[in-house]
Amino acid sequence: MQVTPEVVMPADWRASAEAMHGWRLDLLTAIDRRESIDVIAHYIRGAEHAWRMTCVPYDGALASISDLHPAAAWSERETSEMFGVRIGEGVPLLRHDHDTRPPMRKVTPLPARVETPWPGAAEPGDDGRQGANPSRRRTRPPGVQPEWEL
Amino acid sequence: MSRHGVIALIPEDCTSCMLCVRECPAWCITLESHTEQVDKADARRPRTINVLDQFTIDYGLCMYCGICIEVCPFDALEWRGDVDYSTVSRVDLDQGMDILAAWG
Ligand code: SF4
Ligand code: SF4
Repeated sequence: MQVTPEVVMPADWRASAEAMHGWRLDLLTAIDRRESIDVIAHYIRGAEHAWRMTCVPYDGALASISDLHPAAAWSERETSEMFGVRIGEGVPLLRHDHDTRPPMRKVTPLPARVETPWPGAAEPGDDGRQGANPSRRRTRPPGVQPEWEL
Repeated sequence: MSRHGVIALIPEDCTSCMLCVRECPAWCITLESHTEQVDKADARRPRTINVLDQFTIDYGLCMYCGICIEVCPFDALEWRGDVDYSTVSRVDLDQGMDILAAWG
């Protein structure tokens, strides 16, 4: 299954959901693109799959589609609080400490990723007896962003 | 490729290159290896090879993304189907290479 998402303007998000009448909303989530948040929705009808995507600025807002697709209700709240974009009413439910940054934004450090030793730091064939190979450039582990300043 | 089941290791094909360990987004693969010298009569310099000592996947963290299988340049990792690997304790979800090599 390889379906390219149809990209719509934020203002057309509801219209795109309306056009999917008769489809089942399977997933609604987002991706932090570092300049904006891409909100994506996945719809299913029988064996058919369809993706819709829209690009919301960090301080932007998106209209809710949960009256059209009730399955969106929970995902919209989760996406909105975790990524820090306004979707619909935006009544907080999951995060009560709004002084902290939205956990799914890339700029938000994940404490576990900072504290846990990365298993990939070991060198091939280095069992600790010869000491680390100093010539290798340091690679940043997956999931660790440059601005966390490790 | 069989359908997604568990990730199995073929230890003979693994060169301890660390690629899968470094690419795993869940940080759930650990690998221990050491180097050994192989003496070849016709070689001008002694050659060293990496020898795999232990390879562990923590199935309490693995999310079955398959990235490790994709990146392995030696096809030493593969999907194998239908394995019941549930355990009674969290630590037993750390599956070592004997288990990873043996499951069906
Ligand atoms: S399937 Fe993904 S999460 Fe699991 S060991 Fe491989 S790379 Fe890591
Ligand atoms: S990528 Fe393949 S060869 Fe390299 S360490 Fe992992 S399993 Fe072994």
